[in-house]
Amino acid sequence: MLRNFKVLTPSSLNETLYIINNIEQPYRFLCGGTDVLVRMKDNPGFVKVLIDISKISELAKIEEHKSTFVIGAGVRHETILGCSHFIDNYNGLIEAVAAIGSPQIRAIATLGGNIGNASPAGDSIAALMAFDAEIELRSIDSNRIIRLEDFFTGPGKTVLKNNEIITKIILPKFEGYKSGWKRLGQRRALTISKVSAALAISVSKRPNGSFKVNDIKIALGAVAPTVIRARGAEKFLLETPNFNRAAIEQACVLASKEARPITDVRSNAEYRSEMCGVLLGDLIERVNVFE
Amino acid sequence: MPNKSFSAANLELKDMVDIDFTVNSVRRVLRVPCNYTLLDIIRYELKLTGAKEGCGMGECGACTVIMDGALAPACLVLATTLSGRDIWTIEGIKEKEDAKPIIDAFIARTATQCGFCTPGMVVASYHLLTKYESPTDEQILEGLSGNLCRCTGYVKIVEAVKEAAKELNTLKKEGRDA
Repeated sequence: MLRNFKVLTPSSLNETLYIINNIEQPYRFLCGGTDVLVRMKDNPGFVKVLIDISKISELAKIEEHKSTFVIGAGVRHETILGCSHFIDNYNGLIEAVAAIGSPQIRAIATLGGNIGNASPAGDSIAALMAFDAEIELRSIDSNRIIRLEDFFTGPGKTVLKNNEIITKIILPKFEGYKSGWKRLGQRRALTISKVSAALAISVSKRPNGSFKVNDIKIALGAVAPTVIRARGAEKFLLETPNFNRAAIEQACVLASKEARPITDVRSNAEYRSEMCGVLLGDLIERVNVFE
Repeated sequence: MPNKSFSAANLELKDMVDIDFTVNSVRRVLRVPCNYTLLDIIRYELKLTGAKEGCGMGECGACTVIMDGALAPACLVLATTLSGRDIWTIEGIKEKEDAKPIIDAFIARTATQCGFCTPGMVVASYHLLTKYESPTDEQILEGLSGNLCRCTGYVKIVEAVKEAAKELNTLKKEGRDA
């Protein structure tokens, strides 16, 4: 049973911002609770104060703007999966979100929670990063939008200040892109990724029949202290004069080299590096770029 | 008080929490310790002991209930988040007409051995069959992917769900024809 903690229940974002600006004790937010409650059960001293933001409607909205989709940090994974905008244009995000936890977990766990938890293996994080997502961080007297990629500083560590909260995830709109996400895990449901990769790619065919990469974004999960973008492989494919199987193979080798994995209970470093290339190759194959 | 629109109660640290929610279509107004989860409340306060605590970490599905129309792990839903929610536990679901064929099929197919996972499995199967009339194997495995069973090997459970789907479709057809 959970022990030794107290709860604050702000009813609006403003109340929340006021509380976190003035609170002296260490605290954690509670929204879905699927990470924080597990950690509290594991370690009763983990945190003594929870701020319950699950009822704050401002955090649970999805909005469409001219060039972006804005997802509230309290939006649940299940909600994303039911949203036709994302099904149609963000396949990589849908694949990642559909693989998180189990139906039970996805029904209560939130996207902002997956980001705030800052796991290097965070499944939605890799997919969001491959879509150049940004996040909004609010405090009582500030409002900053940063690239998701710049949010993480290490496993479980972020640039979030004690008086800030993640309020929004901002996804640019993409046209003519294909995307996907894939992971390796011990089993299909309720697993923590050993390695994951997300891809968004736009390719065009030249009049001479050869292919050209217009844009490519590759994110790798669980192979570095944070989820990373494989910039070397991206740059190589953007600059390659002829985008073909040989170029893809070379990019996969580059992606493997960009990984800085560790050996732990789930997998070892060598395998993880190797698999980055394999997953990237699989993804490029699967999204049918040469169609 | 920083601002008139702020409620003093919301800014205070609480040990106890008042909740007002619905369980199996009965409204419940309770004051419980804020460290209680939904599972603690249904088992210890409401004495509905069908949902089981397996892992307590959201991985085994033995505590599965339906919350606002979706499956939820009762062991990871904290009391403070419950007000206004609509909860269905196995005790409520088993009384429903369209749950009976599921329970019958679980029994007929011996899809239960030790029985510990069964309440969660039936809740997840019930939810699955409200989503899909004739689920594919893939949909059944996905729908039950949050529920662990260490006895049956799952084959009998999947067969029971298929049989229940068939039976439910027959009943629906008879209902339409009648």
